[in-house]
Amino acid sequence: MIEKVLSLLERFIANERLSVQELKQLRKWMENSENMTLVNKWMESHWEKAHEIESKVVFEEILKKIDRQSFLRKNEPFLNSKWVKYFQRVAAILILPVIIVSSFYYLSTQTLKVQYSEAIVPNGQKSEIILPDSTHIWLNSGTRLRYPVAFGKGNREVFLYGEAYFEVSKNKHQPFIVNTSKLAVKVLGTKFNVKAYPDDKTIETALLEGKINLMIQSVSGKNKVLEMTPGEMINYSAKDSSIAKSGFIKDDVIGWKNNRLVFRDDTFNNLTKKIERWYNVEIIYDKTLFEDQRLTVELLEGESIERLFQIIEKAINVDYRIDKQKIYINPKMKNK
Amino acid sequence: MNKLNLYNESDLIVRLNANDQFAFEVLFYKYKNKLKGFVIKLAPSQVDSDEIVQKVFIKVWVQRTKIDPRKSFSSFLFTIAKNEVIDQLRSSISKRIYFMGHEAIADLNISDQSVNETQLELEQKVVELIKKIPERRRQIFELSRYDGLSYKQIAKELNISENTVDTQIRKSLNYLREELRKIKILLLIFLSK
Repeated sequence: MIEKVLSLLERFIANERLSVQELKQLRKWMENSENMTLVNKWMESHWEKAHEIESKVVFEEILKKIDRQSFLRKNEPFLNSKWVKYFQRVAAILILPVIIVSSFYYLSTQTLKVQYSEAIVPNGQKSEIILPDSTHIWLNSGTRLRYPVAFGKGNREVFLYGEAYFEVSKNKHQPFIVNTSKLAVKVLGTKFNVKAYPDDKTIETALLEGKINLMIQSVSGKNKVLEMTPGEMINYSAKDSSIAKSGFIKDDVIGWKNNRLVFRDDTFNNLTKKIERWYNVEIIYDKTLFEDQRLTVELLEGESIERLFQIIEKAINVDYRIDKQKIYINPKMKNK
Repeated sequence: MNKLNLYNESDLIVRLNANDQFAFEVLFYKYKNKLKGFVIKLAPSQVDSDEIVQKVFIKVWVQRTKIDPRKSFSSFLFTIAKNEVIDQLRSSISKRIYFMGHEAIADLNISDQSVNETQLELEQKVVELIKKIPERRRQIFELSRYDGLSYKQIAKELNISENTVDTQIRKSLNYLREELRKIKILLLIFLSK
């Protein structure tokens, strides 16, 4: 009996046709709370063996839906003179005439409450920011950086979603920590680049000067610490927690900072992602067709998207069409 | 080394308990794909799985202060996901009964003949239309038509008068009929060309 109903349920989920009688039986069975223990067990086994499937949900969407008020503690009303005071206390200096949207909220940690501000650089833009400790940060397109309004006595901590190049001011007593969703970079004072877009499969950290510790959380929950030396790049793959060490060409990694777009043996997928962020466009193509393509392109400063696509068109034999913010790529039609 | 604990899950929950949005985000990125895998396996196929993923995480945030740091986050997330999936299944089953039991057809005065072949298409169309009904009115309509509650039961559950229930359902039906009529006219114009 029980097996029969569970199999009905399975068939329903698989979108198979059930008779009205079967459906009514199923409904009745699902309404009985005693049966729910069984459903529970059944679902639990599915939970344990659930495969990961890429979900397109973005964190921002969830934030939008959550009542803004709920972020703020009850005893701290949202609209009061604190706003005014806040602006007076903003210590970070933003350079460059780039749109930076800032939003503010409180992040409470166990020990102390730190007030954070957030710099958001939209696709197609870049920006720089100087923190109160005179750490200089360059932000690449499509990046968010959350930073404390003022640094307390503890660590200097920022949160990065995207790509940034850091020149951290030296302070032996206060380590500087860059948090990403998967790993953290701990430094005392150095120059390094971190590429950690939430929708990328890997996180790249490249060290130019000084010394940094890379702290990686493994699936088992244990942490791993890697020491990096200058000239080294570590590529961390979130999917299998694997780590690949290599050297790097300076321009490949921080060319973006000088407004130069560089692709070095990039997969087509990587290339399109970079272009989408850089030029704030959407690229539409059949992923299966270009899977094995790899490309190396070095553009001069501020090169136009048309020029870039002229190069790509020749290099891999494709047709492209630019329609406002959308770019369509198709294999070149063969002559009959 | 203290800072390494940042990614320890029970610490993350402690931070989440204290409204820490970053901890929430880390947990979100860690679990969203597993959740999607689970939802795709068990939720009714008509429901957008990403929508469920989103709903589940919103519920996690709503209940953030009640999560026990001594227990695993995975099992907490499972409980919320499971309840959401069961709700979706129940409502989906009721919906299917409503449409298969020819109740929808009677409701909308569609002749049985024209329906047979395009049953599924019509069902999808009506489901789409129902989605566009304002939320409160739709809730009343669904309680009546999908869940089969009486006007009296709905009135009691939502704490409104039976009269209101009646009006709201009438308005919903009128709207559906009107929209379907438009579609039919469009179809006729299209066919006669």
